Amino acid sequence: MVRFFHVTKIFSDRRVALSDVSFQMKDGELLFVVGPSGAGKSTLLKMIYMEEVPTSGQVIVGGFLSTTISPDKIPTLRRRVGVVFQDFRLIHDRSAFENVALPLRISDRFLGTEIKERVMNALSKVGLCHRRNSLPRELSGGEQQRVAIARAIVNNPIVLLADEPTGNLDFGVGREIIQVMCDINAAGTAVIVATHDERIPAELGCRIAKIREGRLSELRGGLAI
Amino acid sequence: MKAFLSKVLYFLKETVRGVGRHKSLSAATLVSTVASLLIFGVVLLVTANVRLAADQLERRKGIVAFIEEGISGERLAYLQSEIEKIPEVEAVTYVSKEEALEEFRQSLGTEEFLEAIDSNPLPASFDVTLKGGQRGADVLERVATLIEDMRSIEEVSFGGQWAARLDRLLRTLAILNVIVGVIVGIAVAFIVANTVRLTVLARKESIQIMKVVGATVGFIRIPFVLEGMLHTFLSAALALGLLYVAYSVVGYRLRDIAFLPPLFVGLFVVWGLVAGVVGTHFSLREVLSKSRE
Repeated sequence: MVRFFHVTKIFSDRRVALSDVSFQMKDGELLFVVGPSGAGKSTLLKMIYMEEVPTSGQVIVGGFLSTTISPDKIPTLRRRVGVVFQDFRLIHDRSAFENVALPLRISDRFLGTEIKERVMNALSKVGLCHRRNSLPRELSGGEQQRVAIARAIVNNPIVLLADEPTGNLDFGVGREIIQVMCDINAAGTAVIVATHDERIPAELGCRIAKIREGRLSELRGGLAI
Repeated sequence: MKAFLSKVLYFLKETVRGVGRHKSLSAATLVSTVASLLIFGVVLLVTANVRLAADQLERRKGIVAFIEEGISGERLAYLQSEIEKIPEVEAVTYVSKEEALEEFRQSLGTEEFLEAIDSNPLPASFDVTLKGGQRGADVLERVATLIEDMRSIEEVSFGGQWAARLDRLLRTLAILNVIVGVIVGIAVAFIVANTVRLTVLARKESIQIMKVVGATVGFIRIPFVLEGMLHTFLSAALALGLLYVAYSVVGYRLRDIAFLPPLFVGLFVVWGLVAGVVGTHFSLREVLSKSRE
């Protein structure tokens, strides 16, 4: 479902972000990519939603190939990939409901009542139905991240990507957020979490891939390479 | 069809919401665009009135052909029809000796001088008006020569040098007007486009979020373009309203000042709209090009 074939990414300033990275993830898997800042975690995730393209090698996501995908197909790919960021990236002047509804409104497939059902369903998965009318500024950091997760899963993505989702949260709230992601994974969605903090995945006994200076190493838990 | 209508509804809602959500930003940009469009409106108003004045001055340019005394009515009618046949001629009016005297009397404002004269010394004449666009000094001279050569025409007057000077003055005015109009028009377009650009850049983050969740460029663009159009349309309407108020107050004191003709009103609104759409287009391109499609 997500495959990296000898992916190398060198930026215009000649910085090597990823170096010969290869791995494969199947449906429903959960993977933690752990490494210090600047190790290449965010670049690896950006390759999956094709914000970045490899300098060499190839990324395949749900049938979309990084080498052949046309610009007009990228939005279609992104509708099948949910993304959560460290800074939540919610639209500040829209309610939690409207933020979650955004991917559905973008799509041609959903109408009013179905949008409402799906949004409420996603909000209930993160335990925030009661805050649906709140604006992001009225929510705590943990709640904002839950809204961001609900937005990422409302379209039933093939994979949920989380880039340092606990980076702006204290340890306890961070653990709750990771638990929400584990629950989403348990319901069948593949999840990739990039984090610098190894404690939570280690505590939960999840599979970990370590990344350092753009190289993936120390894969634990049966991840195929 | 339902999905299409739902999307159209979404775009319209987003357009109105966009203005409503960013009230302070919208108000600030509105003031800025109204002010710059108002300047453009003043330039257009001056242009319209310069054109009007030029047209009125041009209309005064005509030929007076004095007729020999004692010619028959038949000959008079023939002469008039001959002059009317000249392609550049718009109208020919016969002024009899009596009418000429009456005009003279009115222009003098006194009877004393005329009382000293026994008979009417003024000749009958034809007042010849030329067609619009055919009133240049050279045309005037050519037509005057044609009339002067006709039998029974005693003399022709057309203010030769005066007409040439007026021609030069009007040409200079028109060129100056176009130069000022174009400079102000471009400057205003830049101001409006940049003001709209600020509203787009202020929402850069939202645009990036929409891209990440799978919005197409078209989906992101449409509400912004509609909002830019709504914004500049409202600004143009407000600027026109203010201009009209100013015209009513100041124009009341100045005689013969006309408001913008419909063509100029249309040009004004379209110019504002184009500037708004271009500003939205380029600022969106700037934001959207920062990351991959």
